[in-house]
Amino acid sequence: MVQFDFQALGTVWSVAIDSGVVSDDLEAKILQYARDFESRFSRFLPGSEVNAFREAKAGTYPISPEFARLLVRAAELRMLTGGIYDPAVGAVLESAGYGAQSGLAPVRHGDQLPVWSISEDTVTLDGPVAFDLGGIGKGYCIDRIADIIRAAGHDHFIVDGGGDMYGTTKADGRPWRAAIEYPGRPDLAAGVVELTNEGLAVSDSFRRRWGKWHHLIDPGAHRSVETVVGAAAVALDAWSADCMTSALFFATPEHYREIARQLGSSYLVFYADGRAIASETWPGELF
Amino acid sequence: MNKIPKGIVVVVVVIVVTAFVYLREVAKVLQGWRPEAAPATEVAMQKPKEVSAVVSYEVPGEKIDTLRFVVTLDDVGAIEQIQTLDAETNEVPEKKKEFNDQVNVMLKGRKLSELTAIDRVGQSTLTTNAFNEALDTLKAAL
Repeated sequence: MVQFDFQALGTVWSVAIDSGVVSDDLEAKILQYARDFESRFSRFLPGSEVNAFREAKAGTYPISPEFARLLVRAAELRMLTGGIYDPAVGAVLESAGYGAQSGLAPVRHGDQLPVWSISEDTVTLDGPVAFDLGGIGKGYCIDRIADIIRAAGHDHFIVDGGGDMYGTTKADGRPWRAAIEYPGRPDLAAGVVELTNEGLAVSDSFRRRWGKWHHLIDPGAHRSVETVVGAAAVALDAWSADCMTSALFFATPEHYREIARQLGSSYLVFYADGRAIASETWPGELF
Repeated sequence: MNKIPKGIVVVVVVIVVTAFVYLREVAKVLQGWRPEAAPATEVAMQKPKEVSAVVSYEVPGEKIDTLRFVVTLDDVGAIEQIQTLDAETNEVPEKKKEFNDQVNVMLKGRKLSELTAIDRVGQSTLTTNAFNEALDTLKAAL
């Protein structure tokens, strides 16, 4: 088993390839893709494609095929969550204190989200927009790296992008076993799933209350039991799983099934009081 | 894994679509059996009819499922109703689904250190990073 780790997209990635000789060339290709992806789609980098429209006038603009693929999916999720998930939130996050302060031009003020639409390889905007693909970009990147590994002739591997992952099988055919972290408790597992040509995404909502996550360490803090504190998803690829967890935070429970059906994903939702809801299709054990 | 392979789903869809198309053809043929409008007052009446077809499919590792398609024709041979039922229970399958589609559990968690043969831990990136950063502050406060 060969494993190599690297830093990308703000976290530590780990790729394990079981069987076969892994060339340095493959490792280099993977690093290159991850770094390219980050420079193209990170909302923290001024020259990225997602920041290209921070000062744009209303209009229709051509975008790269990959950006288009990502936005098409984002538009689908926007529709499935009734508009609550929307990647055009870059400016909103910044004003909440969660963003790059590196002299990026402010987008616009107020609570109105920009209106945008995607068609083939063009995006239409009603004014300046800063896109944040944070909820869906990583899964996509994991899958593309999996493609690179497969193209190099390796069938048994797992790509772990800092907690979201895609695994085929080990060389002996056994699945990759992944524990799912209990939200807010890094020492506990909420369950275990076995991945066989599947993607897993695990997300929690603490980061979305940036500035209030100290509730983790304050036992006296009151938290509504209806609050979704974490989500996990297993799907046929990492991108679908990643999209599923993002959607779970933004959608109301009566939409979970429909979204899961559209994405071909199973899901797990954690509530603040320790209760969890799992789709009928959820694989693996829960503790 | 209890995931249904795509191949099986495709086969099922083909069978179901074929069954529907077949039934629609059957219905058309039955409608075509309506006698020509007779002169003046006579119109030949048919008895209302029900025709049904049962489709079964097998999911590897699971029991065989059957669906019954029922087409009801009125007394002039026009289609009144098409129903899709579970062949065993004669109920609409979707109804049962809604009760079973989610599992509601209280999770206590289990210590990671007690689990065996874990290859990876699925976790949220940013919170873990933030938490790790906070650890120093936390330790200092102890």
